[in-house]
Amino acid sequence: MLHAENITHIYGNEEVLHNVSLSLKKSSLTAIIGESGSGKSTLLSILSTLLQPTSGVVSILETNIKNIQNIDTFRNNNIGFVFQFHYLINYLNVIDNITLAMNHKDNTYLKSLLIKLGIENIANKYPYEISGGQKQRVAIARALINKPKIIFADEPTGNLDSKNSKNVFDLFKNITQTEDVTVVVATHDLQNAQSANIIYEMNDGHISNYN
Amino acid sequence: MQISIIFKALRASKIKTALIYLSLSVTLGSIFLITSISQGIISMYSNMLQNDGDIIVTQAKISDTFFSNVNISLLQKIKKIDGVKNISALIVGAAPVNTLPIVAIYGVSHNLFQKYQLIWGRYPKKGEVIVGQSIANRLGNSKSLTISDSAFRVSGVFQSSIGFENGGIIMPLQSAQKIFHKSASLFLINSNLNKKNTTLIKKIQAVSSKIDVKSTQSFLKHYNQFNIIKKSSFAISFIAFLMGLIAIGSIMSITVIQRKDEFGIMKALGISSKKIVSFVILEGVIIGLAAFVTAYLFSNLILILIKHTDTLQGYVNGTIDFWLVLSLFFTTLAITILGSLLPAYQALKIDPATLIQRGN
Ligand SMILES: Nc1ncnc2c1ncn2[C@@H]1O[C@H](COP(=O)(O)OP(=O)(O)O)[C@@H](O)[C@H]1O
Ligand SMILES: [Mg+2]
Repeated sequence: MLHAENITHIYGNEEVLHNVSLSLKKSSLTAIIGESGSGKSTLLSILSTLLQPTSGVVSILETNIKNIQNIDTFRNNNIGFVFQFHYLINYLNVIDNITLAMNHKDNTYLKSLLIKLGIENIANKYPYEISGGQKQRVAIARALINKPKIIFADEPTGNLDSKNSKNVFDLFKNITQTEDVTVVVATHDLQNAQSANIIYEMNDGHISNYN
Repeated sequence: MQISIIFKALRASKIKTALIYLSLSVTLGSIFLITSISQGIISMYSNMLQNDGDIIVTQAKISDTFFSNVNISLLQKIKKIDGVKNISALIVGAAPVNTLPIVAIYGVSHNLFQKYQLIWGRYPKKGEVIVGQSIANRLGNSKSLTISDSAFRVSGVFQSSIGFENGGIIMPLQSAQKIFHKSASLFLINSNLNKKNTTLIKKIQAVSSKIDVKSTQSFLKHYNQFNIIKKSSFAISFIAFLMGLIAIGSIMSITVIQRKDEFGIMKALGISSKKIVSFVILEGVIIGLAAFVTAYLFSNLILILIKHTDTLQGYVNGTIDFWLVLSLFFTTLAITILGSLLPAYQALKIDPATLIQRGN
């Protein structure tokens, strides 16, 4: 459902990705591991349409992303994001944060998401009133609200303790089945990455299969 | 994304909201006040002259009622011209009265007296004056006045809706001639012809090359003093407009930079550029509309206070009419939309890829 071919990326005059190719299977959990500075985030930005690669082709849902007319709408409909720093908007409560970019009016789905993520009783709280683990679950709900085909998560557990980190990975694994969504996680949390269906390793801008 | 989110965003950054609100209130308030007061002065003076005649005769090349000097002997000649129904002579001046440093003084020919509505007394004879109601109060309703070193007796008090008259003193033309050393400032003529009086104007003009004859309407339209007032009021308003624009633009762009993550996440989530731009602009517009209402109420309050400030002698007067409200409403929209454009553009330019943590 996502194919990347010969992705090369240059920042200034530093080539940080070298001919990276990979494919993602529908409804799978893929982990991209690697040391800090190995190029995980750059790759994720490119795969998720946030960054144009210097060269190479990315196609999502059989469409070359260069040919997508309205990239905002495309992201809104098909792609969800989870970041290390959740980026919840502080002046909006949990519900408003989740529905910020909601493109449908299916409130039953919203409700089921809240319950599934165990955040239904903090729905009216503000980000500064909830814990780090809860914030990340709210961010995951926000990523899921438009029923995307694919979710990109960059170091989603970077700020969480081991218990909450495990919960997030369990949740990702779980939603690939229940929500029929493909999840890509960039992480240096090797232990939790083991729960992924496929693991890639980045090394100085080169990609390889792990194990 | 609903409109309620904009209100939440405004509430979240109270200081920004308050700063923009205050600066726009001051901007719009000053435009309201300067415009209504200058319009007030112009319309008071226009009404005063227009009520007395549809044709005005002033000294040639001196298009100012204060400095104009017209020879009174021309009055009899003009009076005989066919179509002239009524002609009166007027001296417009200002002089110290008792302890007041400056008061409007009108020397008028006798046929003009009846337009002043007496509250008590009778029209003035030689050595007498009638006094406008508001200035009478200021002068402690005294029965004798010293006007520019000459003593006068008050023969009555009159009332006028025009501030310059209600705050002025009327005397027979002959008395004013002595004080101001001229025989007349101007003549006001009522013609029989209601509309087109160009031929009559030409006939009167033919009487002397030392006078300028115009319809009162066109005289007022080109009256230099009014143009000065209009231009300076426009200049002040325009400066206020620019200050408001700069205030809203700079305060908002600072906060947009502070809210980088917020706009970044909106873009990452695929919220359209159109929505992000309208989000930023609407924040400005909403504050602007609140400031508009505040400025309107505040200016009205100031105008009421001005009206009741005795020291201004009723010369300063302004009302905010519908057209001023309407044009200020559009000015508000213009300031807020223009002022928010740059910040909105900055918000649009924020790269959502920066949300992804680099080097981790
Ligand atoms: N915006 C940028 N400009 C210049 N260099 C960058 C930028 N973002 C990342 N880099 C560099 O690219 C390399 C890969 O970084 P990144 O993709 O963040 O790796 P990772 O996420 O695996 O830590 C690093 O050397 C980093 O310094
Ligand atoms: Mg990274």
